[in-house]
Amino acid sequence: MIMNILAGVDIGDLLGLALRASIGVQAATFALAAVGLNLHYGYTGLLNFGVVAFMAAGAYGMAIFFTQGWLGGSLILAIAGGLVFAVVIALSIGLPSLRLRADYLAITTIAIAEVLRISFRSQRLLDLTGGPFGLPSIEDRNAEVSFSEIVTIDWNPISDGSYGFWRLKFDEQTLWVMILGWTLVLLATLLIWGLMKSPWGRVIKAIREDEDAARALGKNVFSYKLQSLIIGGMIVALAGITRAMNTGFVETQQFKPQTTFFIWTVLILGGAASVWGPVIGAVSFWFIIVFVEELLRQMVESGWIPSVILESNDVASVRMIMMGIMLGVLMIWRPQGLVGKKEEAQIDVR
Amino acid sequence: MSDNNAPELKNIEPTPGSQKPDPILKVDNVVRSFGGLRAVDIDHLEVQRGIITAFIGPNGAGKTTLFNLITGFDKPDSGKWTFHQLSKSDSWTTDLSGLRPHQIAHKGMVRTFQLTKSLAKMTVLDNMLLGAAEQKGEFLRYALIPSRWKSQEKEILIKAEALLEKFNLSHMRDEYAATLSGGQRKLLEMARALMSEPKLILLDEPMAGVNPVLVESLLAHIENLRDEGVSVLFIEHDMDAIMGISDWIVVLAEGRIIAEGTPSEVSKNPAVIDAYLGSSIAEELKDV
Repeated sequence: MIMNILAGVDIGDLLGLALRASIGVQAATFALAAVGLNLHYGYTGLLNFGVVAFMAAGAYGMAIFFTQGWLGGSLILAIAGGLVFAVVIALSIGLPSLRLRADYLAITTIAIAEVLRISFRSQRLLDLTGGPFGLPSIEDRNAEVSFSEIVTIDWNPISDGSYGFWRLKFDEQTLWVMILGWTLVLLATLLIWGLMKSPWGRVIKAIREDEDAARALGKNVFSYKLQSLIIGGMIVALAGITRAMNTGFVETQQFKPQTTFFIWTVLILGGAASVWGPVIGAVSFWFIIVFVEELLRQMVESGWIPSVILESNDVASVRMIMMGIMLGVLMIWRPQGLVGKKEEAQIDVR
Repeated sequence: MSDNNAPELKNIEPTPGSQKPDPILKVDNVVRSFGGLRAVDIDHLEVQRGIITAFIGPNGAGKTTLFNLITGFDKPDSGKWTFHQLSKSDSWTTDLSGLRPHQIAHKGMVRTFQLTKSLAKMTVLDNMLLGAAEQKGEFLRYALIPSRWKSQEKEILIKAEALLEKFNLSHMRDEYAATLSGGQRKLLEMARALMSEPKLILLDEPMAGVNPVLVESLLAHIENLRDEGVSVLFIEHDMDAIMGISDWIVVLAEGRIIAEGTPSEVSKNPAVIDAYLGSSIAEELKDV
């Protein structure tokens, strides 16, 4: 039977595709977003279920500032504008809800994420956000007037060509965005590492453990939570911006709630409250998800899985089921994730 | 029964709301109601500096509620309370009413909790370091510049290690606080509160759930605090402990102060015996 599976499946092909995905731009953006979420949830204990709101704020903020030419058409300033928009979102979530119990923050973040997505899509904002068509507008996209052009072509120091070997060959544009993305991941990770080693990080962890204890020791808990929400939110916004640079446009379909939960999966898989957890999580997440999807697809195509059970169109949804099962298994047997410390694990189902 | 070493208390009238020669805390007209119930209703209370004051009273007397109010964890319907220093060289009054908990802690009044709040997923040492006040490195703008806070961190570390040594927790220094026993957690919480060098420390049932062997050492620690000049206010149910170490006792019942005095005065007060101690404990006290 094993021979049968192997007969229709090219293991080398599978590994190649999975590896390719695990170091790709998607993995980098997920890692970046998970680094931000790790500060929120892993270290501060903030239940942010609106991760995608910060991604959307960053990406749309940048795209709007750039396409409207409000900041003199400078992309650097437009990116800064996107980050400022993320800060505004953090304040509008944090100011009303951070004084309340933890669950109110969770509710507010879910709500804001959907409010943002639906507003961006609305007809009223068509001129600003492009409504359902996104930014830049379809005509501009076809005319190749896009923020991503500036990054992938104008700023690209790599000469044209194909780099790498085997399945891991990338053209100069993809390679450049990958380098940028993973550099941002590295910088954000180092930032969190530095912060968590400082007395500031000590207060943040104390708030995660027991807010009242921190208050009784003279720490302004509200202010620290707001700082955490803002810093983490800006890192997540950078993830949104990086993704926009890769896809070349932003549209509301990219900011559906499931993205939030993929990033939660990445964080829990890697290990919340560990410095490298989000990175390990993102790499493993994309490796597993692509490996499983391709394995299923090849098994369906080689007829090993009869089409009565599964057709190749269904494969994408099956991988989600697998992901859900994996998350459940992880939470029961390894709540600290792949590289987290068991003693500091946040999720404890026992 | 012998009253402890606070001769200045001899001349104070043992009546509710009596004036103290050198009060550190004054509470005026503090009222807190839950629905129709007046949980706390204090007309006037003064807490003497440099001694151990105990709050006693039956369950529901409002002791913990009063603690929560004066430390900012709960808001009273009305009333004010102030911090005092009245000496020739240095004299001031600070209004504490309406401040938030961390602001009150900054003023020098630090509390512990009835249900211990040791930070379980942090090490014992990190718990201690957290307690220190006025840390430069706790500001976001300095957090990434270790040169701004490394020297202060070293001083704090020395202080923390000295306190851990004193509280017999040195061997647990690098363990997670979750691994401590209940009594050790009480010790840690008290030591952590001392890191900020409070003027007045409020201990909510420091002996509850602590094994009898450790109670002795806890009591000795509290007496040491007083001898080092910290004013102590504590809530306790263990009568032996209260009578043994308190210099002054404030008796609460149904939210009001019904008696004040030295341990011997309070134990003889018929109102206290009626309202709180009950006949059996009164019998016990006669033999002391």
